[in-house]
Amino acid sequence: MKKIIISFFICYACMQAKSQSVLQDSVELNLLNAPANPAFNLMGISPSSVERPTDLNSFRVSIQNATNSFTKLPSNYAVEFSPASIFGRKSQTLQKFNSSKFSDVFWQSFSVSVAVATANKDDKETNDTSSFTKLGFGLKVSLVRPHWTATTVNKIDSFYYFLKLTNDEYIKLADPVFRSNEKLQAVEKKMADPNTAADQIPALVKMQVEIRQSIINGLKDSLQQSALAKASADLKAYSNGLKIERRGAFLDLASGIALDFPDNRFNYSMVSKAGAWLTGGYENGNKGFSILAIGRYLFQPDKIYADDSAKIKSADISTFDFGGRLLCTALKGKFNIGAEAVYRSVLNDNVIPASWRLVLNAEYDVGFNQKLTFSLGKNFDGTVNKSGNIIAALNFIRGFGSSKKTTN
Amino acid sequence: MAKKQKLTKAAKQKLLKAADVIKNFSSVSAIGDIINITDSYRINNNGSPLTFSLVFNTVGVGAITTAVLHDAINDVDLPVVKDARDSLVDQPINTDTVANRKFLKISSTVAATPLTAVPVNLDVDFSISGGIENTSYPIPAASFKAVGDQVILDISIFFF
Repeated sequence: MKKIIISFFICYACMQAKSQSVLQDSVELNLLNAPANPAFNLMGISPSSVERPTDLNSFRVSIQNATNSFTKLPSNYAVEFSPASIFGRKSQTLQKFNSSKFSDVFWQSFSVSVAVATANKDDKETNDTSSFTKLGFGLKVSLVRPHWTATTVNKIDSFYYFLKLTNDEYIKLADPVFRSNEKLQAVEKKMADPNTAADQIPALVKMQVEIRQSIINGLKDSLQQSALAKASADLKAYSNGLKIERRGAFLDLASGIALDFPDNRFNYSMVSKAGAWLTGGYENGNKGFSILAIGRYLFQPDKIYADDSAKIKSADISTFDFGGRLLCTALKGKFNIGAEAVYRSVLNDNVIPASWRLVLNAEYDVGFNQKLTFSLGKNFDGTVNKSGNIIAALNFIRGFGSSKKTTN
Repeated sequence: MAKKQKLTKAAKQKLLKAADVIKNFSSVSAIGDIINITDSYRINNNGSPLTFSLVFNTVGVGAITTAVLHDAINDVDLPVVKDARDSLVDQPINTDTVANRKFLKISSTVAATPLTAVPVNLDVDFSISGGIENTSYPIPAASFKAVGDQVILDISIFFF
């Protein structure tokens, strides 16, 4: 019975592999990520306000549906992109992502995020007319980045091993074909002959280009029947499973500004808050505990502090937040659960009492481009006489594309 | 008669995982393109050292490069570099007197990794210096559609 089942699975796998080959020309996209970028963070939308360091692709999108049991379309969106890759920063190859050189770390981690949200003046999503458009801009950069773990270094070595096998197979396939082509040999020998005049060389190079191109075209046509195809397919399969894991001390700097558009017109906006923050700690990779700490300065956070009676003039108020997050990662990095506590003190007004944000959050990587995030806790605006304001969000983020991971 | 054994959930999961591995390790080539760069380079022939640079600018790609100096008359290859990882900057070839009337033959395989924002075009700079003038060679367009896709660069430069 087992043999029958095994045979079934092998047949199934082969059929899947065959069907994949038909789809070779399709373009795969993976643009989604958990909503953890400075723009979302500043607007109070991120599940966590203390973020882990991340390896960034050139572009990614976050969508969040805060509540409503998935009964309506998400109203909060963010894009995050890397200026280094968009503006052609040179030589950012794979091995450079383990560099500790400041310029490499800076450009590889530098990201710009833009977020759009619809919420009321208290940053709450509502279904009535009290909600309006909010726009956030954020910048983030790593000052100190953790190194790859030993496992990741081994995996990267294996990746280069597969790459070497592919290159070797190409040389094994192509070299005899080039060497046995009489026309090409005749032209190359004529070029190499010291008696051939220099002014004849350009014409010979032109002939060489054409002959070599014709040989390469033939190689392309016969590629699928060669050992090169197998080496190439193995390299692709291995690359798809490659997951970068980092471990060590880190320090990230982020800043941002959030604008409100109270009547949803672009010619009337107000700065609702602006700030900068440092996040540091120890990142422990895909298993075990990571410890993160934050120190954040915010200007004019006129909504998220305890002022139940709204009698205090809030303009031009600055706050300083500090706190930490303990994070546990399991299931090879697929599941994260953690708790964070952030203390907020008002810098230039001693009438307003300090407040806390205490949140438990979890994230599970369901599969290709699908993440489930959950957070539960008390935000800064939870006042004592109201017994706290519980924020609860269950976000299902579903993407449209491949399984590429930009992992911690 | 053999007794029927019921598959446990764990065994089923193992089999599914094995099927996934087999599925992933199919033998369909992921080589998006083989790029032909064939050209020449003028040297001084006075013993100056020649170097080449092959710099990959596409973010997150990995590359392996092997290069030889090919003597077409005697059918002999002098090794220049073997299995070098990623970009090569000012890689020594040999002196121009040794390289005279020989071909620099380079095979380089470049692959997109999970750090590459696919789909993306291959961006690579190839240049040679040490001769009459430093020369950058145009590279035909190629792209990576998905993680793990590969592009092969097949380069032949004649020194004279």
